[in-house]
Amino acid sequence: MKRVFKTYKYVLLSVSSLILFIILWEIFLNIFHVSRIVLIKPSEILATCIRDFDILSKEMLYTVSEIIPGWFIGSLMGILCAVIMYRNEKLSKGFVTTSVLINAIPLIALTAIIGGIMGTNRDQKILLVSLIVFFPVFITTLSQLTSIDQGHKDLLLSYSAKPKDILFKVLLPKSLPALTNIVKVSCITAIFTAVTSEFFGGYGGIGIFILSKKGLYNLELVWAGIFFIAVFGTIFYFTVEFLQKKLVPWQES
Amino acid sequence: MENSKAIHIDSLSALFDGNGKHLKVLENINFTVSSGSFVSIIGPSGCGKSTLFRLISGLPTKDTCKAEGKIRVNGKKPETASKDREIGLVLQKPTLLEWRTVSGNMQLPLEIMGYSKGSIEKKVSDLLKLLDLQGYEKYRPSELSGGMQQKVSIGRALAYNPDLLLMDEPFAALDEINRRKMNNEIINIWKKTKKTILFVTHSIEEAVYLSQKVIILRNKPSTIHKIVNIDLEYPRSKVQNSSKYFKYIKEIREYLNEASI
Amino acid sequence: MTLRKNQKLKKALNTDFMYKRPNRSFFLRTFITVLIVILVIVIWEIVIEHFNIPKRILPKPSDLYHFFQREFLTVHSSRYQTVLTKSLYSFRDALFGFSIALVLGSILGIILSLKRGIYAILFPFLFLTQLVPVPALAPVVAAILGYGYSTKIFIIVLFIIFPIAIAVRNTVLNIPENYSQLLHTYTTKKYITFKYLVLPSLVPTLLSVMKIVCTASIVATIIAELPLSVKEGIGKDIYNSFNNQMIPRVWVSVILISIISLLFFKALSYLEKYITTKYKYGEF
Repeated sequence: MKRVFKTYKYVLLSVSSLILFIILWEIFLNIFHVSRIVLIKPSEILATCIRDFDILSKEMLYTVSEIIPGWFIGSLMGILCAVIMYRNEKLSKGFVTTSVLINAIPLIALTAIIGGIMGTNRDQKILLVSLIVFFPVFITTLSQLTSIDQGHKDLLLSYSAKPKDILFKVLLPKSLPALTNIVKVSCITAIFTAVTSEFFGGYGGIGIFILSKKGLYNLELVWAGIFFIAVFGTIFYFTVEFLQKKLVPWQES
Repeated sequence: MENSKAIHIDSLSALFDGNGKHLKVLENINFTVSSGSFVSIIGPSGCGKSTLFRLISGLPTKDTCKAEGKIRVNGKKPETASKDREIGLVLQKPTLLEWRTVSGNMQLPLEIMGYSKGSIEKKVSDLLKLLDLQGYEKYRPSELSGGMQQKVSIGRALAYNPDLLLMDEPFAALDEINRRKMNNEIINIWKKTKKTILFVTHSIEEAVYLSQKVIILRNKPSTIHKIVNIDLEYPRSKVQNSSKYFKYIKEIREYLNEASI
Repeated sequence: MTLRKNQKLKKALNTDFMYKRPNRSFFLRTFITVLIVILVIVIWEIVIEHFNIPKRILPKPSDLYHFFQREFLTVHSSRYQTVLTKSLYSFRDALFGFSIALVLGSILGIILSLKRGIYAILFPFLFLTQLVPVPALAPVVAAILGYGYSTKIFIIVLFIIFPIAIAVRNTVLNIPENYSQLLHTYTTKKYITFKYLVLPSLVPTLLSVMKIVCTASIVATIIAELPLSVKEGIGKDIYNSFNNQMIPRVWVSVILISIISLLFFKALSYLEKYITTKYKYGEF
């Protein structure tokens, strides 16, 4: 029992500080009656979550159906494009420039443009998420694949290794730590992109739900929506981190 | 076809020419290394040791480097000998792949060269026995000391049975005791496998301890200053306190001093 | 045969190309790029004209030009703000939030690097600022702080403070032991160590993280402008134009703000280059 405590000491600290904060929040609002328009008690938020669980989860699932495919496609395409292009200087450089350009377009702007072309349906959101996730993944993978130790270079040349061998036996395993890291961070980006893009309209999703509720001053539902997003995000992120640890057991950090 | 000259170098010169720089790295290098012998190269910094090493091993040198003259490894050009898997390299840093185990690292060249699975397994277990690494098969490089990592990298170099082993200051990062241990190991391996070993080092004592012949390079001009034949018996641990041993060290030190002027 | 194969292999492993910048072909390249851009615009116009694609899906370059003409070249009353002024207002706010976030983020990062316990306690809150999308958070923040300017800045700072703090923390923790030990032999006073070791090592990190979050700050500004009733920013303008099907206006606004983002990024890149070459930052 003590050993469990020791290894997860910091995790427990994080979780308990969060819980403590929520408890203090509740107590504070019970003592000082702040206007309901400004702050909601956690207990009320929880009650709302339970009461409106059906519609909240339905909308959340809709958004999740935008997030996960988009994240997956974006990451996969990013890695694939980097693998296809890393040997060809001109192609990579051109792609990198394009990605810097597209990345410079603020998300809202990109949403508006693509929304104008495709309409604001689910596919548009998936496309947006894929685009936003694609570029950091692509750039990170590309830079990993093009950086190789002089020592490794010499050894591989002395074995007359073919580029295919070099890619699969050395470059890809070596780039796994950074790659999985950026894919993990992209989970957050994907969530953010999906919810934000819903603000421009759509056929469902938790972002639109929050937008409509906020307008009606139904702040509890906004908070409940935020809670759902936070829960999903935590699960998503830590699942990917768990998978990362399995895939990259040699990583020390 | 057996060639008594494992390495034959004739009138080798190398030049860095480009970017406005015009630098003679090597000038008129001539020496031979006979098959099955253990030869060391020693010299002051900047005398072109690494360029010479790269030229013999068939590794690409800098774009601005132009070489003239003749290098023959086993009667072939170095690149050809490398392609024919006759050269094994051990570099200063072990450069093991951190995601592979010890056996995984040792079989890397075998996988790349397309050996069958069965022969790979056999070869790896032979190597583990040769290097006294049995029991360490599943260890990861991060779990090994520097000396052990270098052992693994020597095993990797020997995996495809090259005739020639080129070593570039492989034990430079080890402490005195471990370095001596590794020196004894490499002599063991040499005696058992009867390979030709060309060993670049910074340490005079190590050169005398290990080799039959020591080539002393100099700079300005970057040529061979002297070649000293070490006429001592193996294992050198027996004679390392003899006056003859120290005489050799003194002689080489004097030559090295001259070479550094 | 083997020589050529080895050279091919050598080329495959050559990594210099990512950093090389040949001077002579630069003008040729820019000329070709300009040519391609003009070609694209012409084809774009022709395709839309030919297939009669409705304006709400894809505007023609000529539509964009008409809007541009009406907006900038005809005379408006002095109270009317063009999309350009609005974009610049947004940029100003983004810059403001960006600077505050840098300062606060660095302080936060240093605090987080002090003890692992502090990091553990504060981490969930920082993590949540990234997890909960800003548009969802915006109404909540607005409810507490009101619908004014400070909310906007607060949201921008909230959005970008986490990456900055984490980067700073990582840098401080990765200062090699020998350096901190060396400083320790000179003094036990923390602020001296701070001045001579921590601050200089933070400069490269901050330069690189600035490039990463600069576009994010502009994104955050535009998002923050949506729920708030500020009249000055381009975010609200884009939202309204989009809903009113004023597509050319949307496109021109998008192009403007993107150019501003790009220039911001480029400016930071040049700043980074200038500082690193002037002070010759090597690596540890």
